[in-house]
Amino acid sequence: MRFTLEVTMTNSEGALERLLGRLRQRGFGILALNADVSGDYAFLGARITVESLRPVEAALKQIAKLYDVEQVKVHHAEQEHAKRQNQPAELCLSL
Amino acid sequence: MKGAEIVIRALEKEGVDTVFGYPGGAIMPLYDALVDSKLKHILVRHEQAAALAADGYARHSGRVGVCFATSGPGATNLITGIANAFLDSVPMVAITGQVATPFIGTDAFQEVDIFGISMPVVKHSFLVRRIEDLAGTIHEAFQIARSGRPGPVLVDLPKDVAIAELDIVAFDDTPDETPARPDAHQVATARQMIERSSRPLVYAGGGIRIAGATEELRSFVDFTGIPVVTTLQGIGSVPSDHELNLGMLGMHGTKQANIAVQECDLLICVAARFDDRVTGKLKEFAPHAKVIHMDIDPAEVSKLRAADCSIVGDVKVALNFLHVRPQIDEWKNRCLTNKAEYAFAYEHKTEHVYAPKMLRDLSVAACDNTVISCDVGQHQMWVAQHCRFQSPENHLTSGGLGTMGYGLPGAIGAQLADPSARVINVSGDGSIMMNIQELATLKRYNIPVKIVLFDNQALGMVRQWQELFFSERYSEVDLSDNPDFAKVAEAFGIPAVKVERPDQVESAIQQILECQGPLLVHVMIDPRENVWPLVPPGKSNTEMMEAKAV
Repeated sequence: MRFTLEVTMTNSEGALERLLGRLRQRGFGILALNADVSGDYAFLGARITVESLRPVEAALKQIAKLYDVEQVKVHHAEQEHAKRQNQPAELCLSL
Repeated sequence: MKGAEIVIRALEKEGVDTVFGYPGGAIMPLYDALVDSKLKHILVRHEQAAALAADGYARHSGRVGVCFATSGPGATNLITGIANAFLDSVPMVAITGQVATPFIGTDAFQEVDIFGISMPVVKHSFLVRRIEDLAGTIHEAFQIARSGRPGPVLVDLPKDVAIAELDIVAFDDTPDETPARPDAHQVATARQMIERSSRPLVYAGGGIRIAGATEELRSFVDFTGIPVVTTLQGIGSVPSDHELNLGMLGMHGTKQANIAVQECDLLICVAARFDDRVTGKLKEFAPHAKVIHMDIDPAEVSKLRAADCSIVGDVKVALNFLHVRPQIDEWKNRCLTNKAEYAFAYEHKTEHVYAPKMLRDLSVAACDNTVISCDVGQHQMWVAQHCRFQSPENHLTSGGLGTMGYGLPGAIGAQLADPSARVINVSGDGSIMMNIQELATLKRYNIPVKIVLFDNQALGMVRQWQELFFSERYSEVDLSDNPDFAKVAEAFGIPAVKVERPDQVESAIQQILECQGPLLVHVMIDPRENVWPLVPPGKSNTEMMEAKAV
């Protein structure tokens, strides 16, 4: 299954590396990545498309465990389609 | 105040009393500051042992274990010990020296990216580039290490930060967050599931010890009357001699434990994680059971086995809300009948010392405040199967990583944490050689750890698997050229005795119990002895192989 994660994290040393490493190690192949720091450099936002046979909840929980992570949302490719039709589309875990 | 002094002061403020480590170039400022500190530093002889000793200290005491190493090889030598702590959720803070910040990334002498290398096996890590961040970072590292599901945290300290000076230092004393309370709705669901079950079973894991929930678990079991099986890490969470304790489940679990799991209609998983060594073939594990999964880590819930009810939070709190009485007399009787029928037998009429019997006898003779720190292999499983434990803090074993060489440094850590305890390292002739240099640490500090070294002149567990699953094609498992371990111990200044016949066992046990200082007992056993029962890899727990009649 392919889905996209939106992650907001503290912009600490190695934060993005930790995020990508966790996804790889837990079996989520990274297909696309876009990341940027906030204006005050305090936070890092990343949008990552991944593919895996493992359930999306596994990625969500594993990313949420990272100390730097403030919020993680996940969009299913199929659900993004649904979202365009004004249907509920995202799982969200705020920490 | 210099950066290194800030670190030492911050450790003291965290209540640290003992640190395990090994000095070197980049961490010299920290060792200089140590001279003026009350911290007790234990000089190990290999950095891996520093991390493993910190692990043993933490597991036995429940406090955060601390280790130091220098940059480069010192830091990389810590990695196995850090990974060991990570896999078994042990709170640890590892502080590594690093080359000065201007040299980071230049391939300087003894520079490695330990921050990057350690990333997959730490709960979190810090590279402290500014002295202003030091005090807060150390406090934060301790909070992360001990909070929620504990784990190791690495703090990499560049040399220039360690020697820099700061006029005003603000030490952080923010209190730790309290663990999440269980969700009331989930608790109500769990109560109903327990009440309605006719064959419930508690599956207790290492998180019981971590949460300090031993009393709560025992109270729950006594109130509900539900039988218990434990994981390797959960051993001792219910006393070994408790009527309802069916023993360890899984690959080398007891027959009665594995049968109970396969027959139960409700599996109450308390702080365990459905490890592959526990479940065997996952699809056929507890096939008739609904699952209640209680854990502080939401990522463990439904990771491998879907939970019908999940209680995420502190099991110490959650267990108190589950006191209901299901009607399970028939089920309880069946479990207890199986327990009696499949109890281990210790008659073993050969000319060799029978390790399971010796361990059983030692464990019965020793007082309850006896810690056994295992290495990894056949002897580790014999300890799990045959030794009595009254509390989980007294059974130290490398479960997740399976680190040969854990036992001796782990025992050193536990003994330093609790000088009044009797600490025994049960090892094998393969494992002991992984960290045998720590005999020097025993001697230097006169640490009264007793080593019971079972010598089958082979890598026994690998040999057993080659015998059973690789058509007896033995490959690189012969250790018949082992050194004379008694002489090795004596060369380190540690007394040793050799046990070669069953009639020497009783006297050796007496020596272990009476000796005031360190002692090595070298026990020769039958090289053909195997660990039974055994669930073959990839098979269901119903497919246990058992010992052939002697």
